[in-house]
Amino acid sequence: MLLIGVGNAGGRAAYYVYQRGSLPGLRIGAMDSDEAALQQLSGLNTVLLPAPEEAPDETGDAADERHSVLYSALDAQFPTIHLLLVVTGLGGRAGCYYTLETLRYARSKKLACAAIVAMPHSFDSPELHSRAETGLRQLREITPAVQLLPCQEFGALFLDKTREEAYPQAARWLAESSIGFLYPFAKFPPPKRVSGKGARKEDPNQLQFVFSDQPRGIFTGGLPSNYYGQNFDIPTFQRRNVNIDPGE
Amino acid sequence: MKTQREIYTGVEIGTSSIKVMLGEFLPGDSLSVLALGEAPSLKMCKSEAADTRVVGGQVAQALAAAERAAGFPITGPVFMSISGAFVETVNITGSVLINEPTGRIAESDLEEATRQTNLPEVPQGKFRLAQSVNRLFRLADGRVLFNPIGQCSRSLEVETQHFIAEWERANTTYCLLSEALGKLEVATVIYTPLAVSSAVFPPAASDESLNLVIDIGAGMTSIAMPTSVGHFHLGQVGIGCEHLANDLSIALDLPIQTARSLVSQMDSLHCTAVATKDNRARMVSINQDNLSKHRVIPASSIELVVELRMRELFELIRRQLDERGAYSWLGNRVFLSGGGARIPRISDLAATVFNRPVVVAQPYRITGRADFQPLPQYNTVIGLIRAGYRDLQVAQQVSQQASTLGSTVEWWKNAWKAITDW
Repeated sequence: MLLIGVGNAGGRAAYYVYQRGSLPGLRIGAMDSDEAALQQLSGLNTVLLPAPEEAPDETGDAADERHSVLYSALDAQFPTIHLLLVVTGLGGRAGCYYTLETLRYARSKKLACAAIVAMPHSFDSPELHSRAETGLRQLREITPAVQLLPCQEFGALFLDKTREEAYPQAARWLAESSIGFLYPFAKFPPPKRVSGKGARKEDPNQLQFVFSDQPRGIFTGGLPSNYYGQNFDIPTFQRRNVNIDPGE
Repeated sequence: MKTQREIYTGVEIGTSSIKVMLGEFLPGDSLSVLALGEAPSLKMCKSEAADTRVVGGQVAQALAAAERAAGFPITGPVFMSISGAFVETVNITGSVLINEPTGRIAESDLEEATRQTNLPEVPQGKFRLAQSVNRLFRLADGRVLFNPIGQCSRSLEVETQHFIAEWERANTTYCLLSEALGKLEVATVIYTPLAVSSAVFPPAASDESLNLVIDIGAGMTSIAMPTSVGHFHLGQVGIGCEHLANDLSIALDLPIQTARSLVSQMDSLHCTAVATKDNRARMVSINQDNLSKHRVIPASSIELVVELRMRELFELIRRQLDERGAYSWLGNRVFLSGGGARIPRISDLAATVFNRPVVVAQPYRITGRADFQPLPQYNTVIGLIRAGYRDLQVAQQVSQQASTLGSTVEWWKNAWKAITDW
């Protein structure tokens, strides 16, 4: 499986999934035309794309250049995946344009693909809303598997916060939705058979959704101790999925 | 006479506690500890103050405790340690061609090469710590040496490490101490790994194989690998015993204070850093006063959490040493220091990662009051006094030479000595 975060919000969402420890068999990447935004996603595979024009001329040289950069990045991944999920904020110029192009290309390669898109917030400009509406129509023509996160419908929820807080929250929402979407397709190792009194009675097909980040406890407010793409403030046993018996 | 005594003070504002030590040097390079004052830091995170008002009060308490223990006020030079993720190491390389027809390297060649390693410009918002250390010398044929004088080579290359700190974050800690000291000034600020190294290793140790000391503090872990004329590696990682407490708190659903107590009392609980996988064969009983809740926790769970975290820390250090080319120089002994060195069997765990015997580091040539125990958590503050004293001596020599001779060559000669002395 491949999860690609496109644009600023998509990139952040992909980074959240990456920080949480991903899922078995899932590759994560981010694409954007904003170099500074990509640089913040340390440890993640990123692709810097040319900035799209406001009204892209699909037949011009500039479009060819954009497509060639995008296609070569996708060609490196497509032969080894079965499912592509694109996450993005559809109001952004790069997010909207490259999400559509990525999914068109994936369909042309007969790849199963889906998209989870966050619509603009109620306080965003009409231009963003208009771009997102147009993009959504085009997106649904490419694939029926489009999951929508209507941020504008949750105005009261987001308006209690500043814009600086609302955008990361939407990205987090995208990330959690992505994990939920991909979870049934993840290839988990077969459950260990536990016998005896302490055996847990669980349906092996039962889905488990985790809607919170792994805790960082007392280090939450400070700068993270990041080394080699890992946040060492997250307990080691959590990052390595080691089960600890808490006693009675 | 008492008034002629030169008494030095070291202050370490650590994540777990603030330590103030007063000491004087005796003949034979012995350090006599006259007094020790200690107070919990309370509001520090990874060597930085989270609440300056609280920490400032604790610094004043620790200073007062040291003065009470000494029986006289602090008057002499005060040395302070600096630690944190905001301090970074910059390596600068300088090189010279050897003019001597035989290619024999003289002291003047070292001076010239070292002069070229001066940091050209410090980025805005940052400052350079006073200490710089020589890392290594490289000859034309690629050989790496720590003392190349007398060797024959067409050229000589030197690598020097400078330490750059973010001004505002360092200044926050500095102000905590300077405000508590009142009229007294901080004489010099020493990078913590350098202080730890100064406490444990006497100067001019052999270069045949390099020692390594790892100081596991509450918030940061310091790493130092000294040579006879400098340090091959000095650095820190932002992981410490607080991470252990945090892991235990989350894994076992305990309040953070209880988890901290667990870490400090592992010995009395018969828990070690090497996990015994005996499930619930050994249970640890915990009474939490604030919740009035009795808990029984498997000792194996505590050990497993500790082992996972500490093994990961040692593996991270080994990887960093490997990437900096330092691991291949490592001798047959690794030393552990800091409060983390007191965790039972931590040496055994470290030995499995470094593939060498690991022992708890002891400060060299230390004497003092009968009630003073040279525990590994005091190595930083002991080393502060040693490193600060050496720093003062070198600075005095350099300034004297510069003022009396006024010669650029002589000044550089002494400046170079200041570097090689580390």
